Amino acid sequence: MKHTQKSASLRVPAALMHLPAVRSFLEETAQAFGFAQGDCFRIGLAGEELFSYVCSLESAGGFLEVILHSVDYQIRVTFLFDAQQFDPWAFNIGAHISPDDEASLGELGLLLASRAVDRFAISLRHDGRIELLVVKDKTYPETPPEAQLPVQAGNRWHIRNAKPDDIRLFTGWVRQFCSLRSCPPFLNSAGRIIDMIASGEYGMIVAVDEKEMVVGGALWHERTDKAFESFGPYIASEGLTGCANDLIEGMVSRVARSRAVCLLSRWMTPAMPSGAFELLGDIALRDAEGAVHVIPVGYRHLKEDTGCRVWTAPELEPFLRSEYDRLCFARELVVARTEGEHKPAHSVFAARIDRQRLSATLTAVLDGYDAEENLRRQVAAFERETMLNIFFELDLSTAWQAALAPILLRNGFVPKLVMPYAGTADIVLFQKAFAS
Amino acid sequence: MTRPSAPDLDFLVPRHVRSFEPYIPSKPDAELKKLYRCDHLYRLNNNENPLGPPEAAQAIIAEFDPERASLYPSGDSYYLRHALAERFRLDPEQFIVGNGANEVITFVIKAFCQEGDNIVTADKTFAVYEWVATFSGIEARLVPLQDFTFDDEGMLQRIDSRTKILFICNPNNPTGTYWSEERLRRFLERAGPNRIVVLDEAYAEFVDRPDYPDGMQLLREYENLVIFRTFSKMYGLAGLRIGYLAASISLVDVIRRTGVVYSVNSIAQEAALAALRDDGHVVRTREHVAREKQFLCETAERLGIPAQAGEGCFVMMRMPISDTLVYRKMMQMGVMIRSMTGFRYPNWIRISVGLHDAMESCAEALSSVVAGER
Repeated sequence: MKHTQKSASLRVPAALMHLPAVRSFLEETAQAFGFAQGDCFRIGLAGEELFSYVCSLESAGGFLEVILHSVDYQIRVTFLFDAQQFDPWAFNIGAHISPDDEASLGELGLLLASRAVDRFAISLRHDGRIELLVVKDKTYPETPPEAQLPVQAGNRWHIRNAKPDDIRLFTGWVRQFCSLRSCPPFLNSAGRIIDMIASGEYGMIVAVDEKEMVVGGALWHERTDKAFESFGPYIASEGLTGCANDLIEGMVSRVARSRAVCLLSRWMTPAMPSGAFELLGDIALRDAEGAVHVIPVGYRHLKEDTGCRVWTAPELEPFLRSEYDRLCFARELVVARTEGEHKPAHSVFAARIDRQRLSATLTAVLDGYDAEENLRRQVAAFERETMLNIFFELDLSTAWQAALAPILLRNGFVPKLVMPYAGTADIVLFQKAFAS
Repeated sequence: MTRPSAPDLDFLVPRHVRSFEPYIPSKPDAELKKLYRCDHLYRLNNNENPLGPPEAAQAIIAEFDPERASLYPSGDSYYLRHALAERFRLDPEQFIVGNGANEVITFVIKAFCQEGDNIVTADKTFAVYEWVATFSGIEARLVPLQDFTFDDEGMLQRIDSRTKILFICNPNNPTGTYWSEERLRRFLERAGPNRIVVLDEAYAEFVDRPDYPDGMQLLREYENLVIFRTFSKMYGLAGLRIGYLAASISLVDVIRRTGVVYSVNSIAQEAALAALRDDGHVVRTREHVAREKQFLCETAERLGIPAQAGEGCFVMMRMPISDTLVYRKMMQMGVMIRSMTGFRYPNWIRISVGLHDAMESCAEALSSVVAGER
């Protein structure tokens, strides 16, 4: 079945008197797009908090564009406004919220909004406008796990694009034995996966045996223009190693002629065939109970590497040289130095919040003299919000971003791995060391 | 002065172009050597002829009068078409010469396909049929190879009322497999006269098998058949970009309408004309290719790597690790091979036959890569 994406937009002055209009636009449009009342309420609440916050800014005075975009499995609300009319510094989530400063508590609106939804991000667009994005996943019933695994010795299989009934069969057994580190939360609902695949934003193949039983599967989706993320391979029995290999080959073949340069995988299973993905490194995720899960990050390049130039700070250079040598990536490293040029007083770091993994990921949007202080305050705010896993993605495409590396190192961040082509250029993923 | 606003590309650019990813060719050797920190680079990635062009063609290139650069070439490669006609005992009007075979692929798709039409070809073959169709808004129906070979039955099954062209790469790049004359005839009979069947014979001159079909002769019997050939492979003129198609006069009359005249430069036309007359070059190249393919196959066997070596001047090998990683590792050792993920053959590489010192270096690099994984 061909599913369509739907969107609606509202352009409104940034004035509190329009708050009810914004909220009802979001709630009613989400309802008209087929989302349940609870989801509509939460997206309305997040929108209300964001709009109130924007209106409260001293610099406010322009117009906001509110765009609600839905695919079957998700609602995305984007607030767009001109950075010249709204100081982008104000959108450093938590950067200037202090529990000792009552006045600043009004700015908790951003944090409140982020709590009501599944993901929240701020970024500066190429056209100079600020984009606030909130994402609410549709609520689906969980698929009950199947007691019986669908596999017998000597099974033969073939690989095909997943059909809805394949997905129902797959979801039943995949939850049985996949560890938390291998199964993203969305695999708990066949309905959600069916809608994700139908949206065209995700791809999935399955291995089907002679009795039409689904004995394996692998999924992928577009993380950025250049990088796809993959999930799996999931197989119904450890004995089906050939099946895992066929799934990976099937997946790679299907994205091979796409615009993606690489596949990244933070959801590999033990069935991943040796040599199919390169190991970039690992990250550690702490869960609410305090347990630490080590997550390997895999990488599969899809094109022939033409090499490129990347920026580095002197403090980061040994790490980069060692990683590029290990991964055999051709890179010309250029050392970024402070040349005394003027920069703005305030930096802007965008944040992606993922409540399911208790993680916050910062990226650098604008450079500023207060970068170190900004980083400290944001980290402190995330820690108060019990974000146990804090990351910083440093894009090596610009000198000023590379020059942030010493600030990160001084503040307890450790370079964990390099993700080639994951951003405008390569990204170095830093992770904040856990507090003892 | 206000800056003009950027064009609305969502409005201007058709959806099928927007979603198409441009092919990024490799950087020049000097840049690659700097990036990969290697002091030499053997290019074994483009199936070029390591012996270069035939001597007569080299003389044409060396003696070309620079003043002639100001003059337009023959707009329709007049003398070359006549020479081709004489060689294949066809009519000069049955040939169109293009700026490489890639250009004539574009001519053919433009001539016969419109929105809603489709072409049928294999999933793991020369990518340009699929690319040109896709960025022209034409559906490319891809049939999986069977045992490294074009699947005739599968292709016939994918035909519908909007199928206009069937592309067969014979021998296939990258697997080197081919259809025999008997199999090709059977396919042509079943496909019927109302669809164009393109037989891409870019590597035909490398094949010395009695059952390999002579597409040029089949043109006399099948009016819907189009043959592609090139001077880039056997004749070593890849840098001059010259290829051609042959078909019935009525088809050529249609294809010519979508072709661009004057797209083939004077040196290319004259060098191709000279090359065509040098049969000794074909014999020498075949001998060299056979010897070095044997060397590559023995290397693969020694290393325990599965190899697929059919016709043509290349060998495929299945590596124990990602082919794109093998590419990077071998580049560091000054050997450039083709990674096959882009051909939908993950973990396979294709190695073009080079001169023997290049083959030795390649074998060393392969040994090093394989040893590192064990």
